[in-house]
Amino acid sequence: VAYFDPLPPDDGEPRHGQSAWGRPPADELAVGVPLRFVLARTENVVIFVGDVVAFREGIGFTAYACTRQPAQVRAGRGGWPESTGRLRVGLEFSDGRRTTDIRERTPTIARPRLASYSGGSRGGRTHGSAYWMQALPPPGPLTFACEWPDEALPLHRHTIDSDPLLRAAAAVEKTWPDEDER
Amino acid sequence: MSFWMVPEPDEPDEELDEDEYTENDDETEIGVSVPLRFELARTPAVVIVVDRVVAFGASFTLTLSIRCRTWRANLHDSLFMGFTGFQAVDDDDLFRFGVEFADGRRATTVGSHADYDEDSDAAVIFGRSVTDTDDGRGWDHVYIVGPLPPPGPLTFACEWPVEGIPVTRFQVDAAPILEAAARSEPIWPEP
Repeated sequence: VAYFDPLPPDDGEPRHGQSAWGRPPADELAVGVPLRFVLARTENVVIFVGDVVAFREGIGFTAYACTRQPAQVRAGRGGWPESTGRLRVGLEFSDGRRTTDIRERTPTIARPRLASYSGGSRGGRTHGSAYWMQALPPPGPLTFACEWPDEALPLHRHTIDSDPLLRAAAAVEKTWPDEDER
Repeated sequence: MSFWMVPEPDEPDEELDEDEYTENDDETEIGVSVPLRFELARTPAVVIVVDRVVAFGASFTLTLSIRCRTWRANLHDSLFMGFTGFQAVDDDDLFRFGVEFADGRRATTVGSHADYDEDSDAAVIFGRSVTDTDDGRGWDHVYIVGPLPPPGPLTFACEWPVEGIPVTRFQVDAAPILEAAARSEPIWPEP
């Protein structure tokens, strides 16, 4: 069974991923988590994860895609452009639940949701795409996964302990607590 | 001299030739996260936080999160026009941010146009990216600071007169940044 669902053909119809759950909450001050790790490395491609932040009910991170030669496809304001061979990113919880950045036409409510909501390039060889997962993982191992068919990158996984994320999430405060009282 | 006035370098920067583009550390290294987060300023209407510090071999990046209680039309210009020199340094509406090393070297966002030059000792700060929040009242601005600070106190400062924020400083020890920088690895190691 493939880790990532196949990307549906782009028929011009909007897909979920830029909706209310597609971006981090604006009314919380995120807490950074000092995590930065290489998720995949081949001779010509390096994927690493950084800029990990916790919110009360989710986490954000940036997946950096580095290519030895300038990549043909760049991440833009909406993250990676849809193409069947683009970089895919996913997470798997210790309880077996899994989410990926394959945008669904009809979102599955039961699945923790992962969306790439912005991106940009540093020079021509390093591209970053910011992700938001609207769920906190349960305690235990949290596995990041990626695959990039266009760059011949097979499925790679990297597991971290979710405890630092959960501790940071517990420390997140509302930016304007009194606004909730109104 | 105000905190924000930094002497111009002796030699004017030559125009950058695209063919001679030099990659910054955050394009060539993985970087190491530094567990450093602090609130730089807070008023009833504005919160400013420094977080997500990443150390590289010869520089570091940080994320400056700015949250405003109310939206106003020229907010974005107030926050980011300093770099372009389109606003005067004494404009009360201009947000100012900077760092000061233990040896007195200082880099600020006011009128700063210089790119980081590894052959120069001058401290430089410049913006790498900016992301706004959904409600239009917040920004996360990533800055790169180079070179690495010397050991000792490292001071972050900001000022935003129109929002009632005077020159406000927060001092940290540069040691955690330097220790992390020593562990940063290249994205493409030499064979």
